[in-house]
Amino acid sequence: MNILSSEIQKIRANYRTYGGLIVLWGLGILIGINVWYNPSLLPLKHLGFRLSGLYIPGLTLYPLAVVGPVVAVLIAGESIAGERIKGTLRMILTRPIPRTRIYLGKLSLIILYSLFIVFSTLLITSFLGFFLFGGGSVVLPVDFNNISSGFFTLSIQEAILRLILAGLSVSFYILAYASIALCLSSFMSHSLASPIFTLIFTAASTVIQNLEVFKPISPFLITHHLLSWQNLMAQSIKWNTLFFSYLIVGCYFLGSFLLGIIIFNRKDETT
Amino acid sequence: MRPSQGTFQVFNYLCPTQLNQAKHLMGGVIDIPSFYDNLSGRENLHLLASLSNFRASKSEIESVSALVGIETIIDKPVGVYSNGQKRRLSIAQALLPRPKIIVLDEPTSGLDPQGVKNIRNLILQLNQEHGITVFFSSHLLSEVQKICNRISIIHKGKIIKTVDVKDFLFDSFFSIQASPVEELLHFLKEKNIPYRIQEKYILASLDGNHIPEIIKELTNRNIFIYEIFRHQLSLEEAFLATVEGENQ
Repeated sequence: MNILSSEIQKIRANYRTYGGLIVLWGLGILIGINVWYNPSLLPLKHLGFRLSGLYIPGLTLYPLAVVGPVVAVLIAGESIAGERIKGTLRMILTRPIPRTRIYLGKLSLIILYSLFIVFSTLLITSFLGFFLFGGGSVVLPVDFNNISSGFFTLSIQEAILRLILAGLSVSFYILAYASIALCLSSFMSHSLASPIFTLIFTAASTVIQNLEVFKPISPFLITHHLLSWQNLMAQSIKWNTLFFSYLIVGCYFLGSFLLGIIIFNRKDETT
Repeated sequence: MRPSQGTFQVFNYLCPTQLNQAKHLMGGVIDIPSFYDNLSGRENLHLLASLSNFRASKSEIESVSALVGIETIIDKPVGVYSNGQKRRLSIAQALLPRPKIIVLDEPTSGLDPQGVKNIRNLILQLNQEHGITVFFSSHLLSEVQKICNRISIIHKGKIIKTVDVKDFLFDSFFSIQASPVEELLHFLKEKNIPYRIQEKYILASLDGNHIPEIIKELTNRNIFIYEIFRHQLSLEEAFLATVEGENQ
């Protein structure tokens, strides 16, 4: 707990923390304002449905799933490598605290940060949505890719519950990326090296995923599960597909977590 | 660093197995003190103390910062501190969990002469007035001579001598003028006695209690002694004599 509170104290003093938050909140607010000025952006309006305020946080999940990992990776990637460069890591290691606990403390912070960036953005955009459009039930297309497939209605309670689950899914996806960045950070000696390598890995994964020859391994790539949360917005949720996504993302998280702990415990920290 | 082999003991704790328990009794200052620049000195002290499971009260932080002489800047961001002030803050963080031992790695490197003097006085004060044992590593042997009671000389990664500074400097070294010199050097090598040649004298590290026996043995070997006297060395001379003796 002491490590987590010291990590929170450090991240509060880091300007980069607020930069990422401002970007995500700003994107959410921009989406809300854009839909307010131009409601025809949502085809539902054309079809005579009343827009619910919950559409705004729902739409914000898209930029959150794309930009959120970048923001979290910047924080996680700096977490160990940044301290290594500044020399504060050696100072911490003089303390009676096992390295595994230091790593767990940093990971705990990243878990909190991933949840915070997602749910604070959803909360802000929910308030904005309710302010601009009011509450009410949510009408969604049966098939997101084919609007003529028909519509179904979610009560506001169920819509909120599904939004929370989608938020948790996006947080988990962001967390897996952050864990990879933290793992790389455990042996790299430049605060930007780990985020850059994580983003290169993401780009490579996206390219591979879209190549026909790699179709069989595509479901095992993390980028394949970028929009798995969308399943929660379907009329009937395909839980098996969703759990498979969680399993794959969980493997990336757990694998990078274990590898990171081993590397961090073995690495000599010298001047 | 991960130890390659061996163990050491800190009070009742056998390390490296029980290193974390031992660290509860120790404070450490690394060679280049590094802090979180956006946080104040007080926040840094709180943060680092909390990692030792030590909840530092306001008065404790104020007394330790007064002890090291940074009480007027304790609420300023560490980013604006000078090197000397950071050194003092690093000693403060080492003292805060009330350790029995503090380990200082090159605490005066990079400081101006006044800063070196201040840190030296602080270390002596910690030892003499607060009863804290200080392990102090340095390449500045003049500083070591002014501060330490007891020293270990590390050469090529191994401790080759551990001795009280007073004994090392005043009791151990003798200047010998003898003939033939080659025979004397052969004798010293044979007895594994560290020595170095200093102008017309051979400077040898000898146990003062054994001088009569040594003189007798040299005489038996037909080595004529013209002069033998206790030599007062600086720590640097004594260090070099010891290390060069090891190399021979």
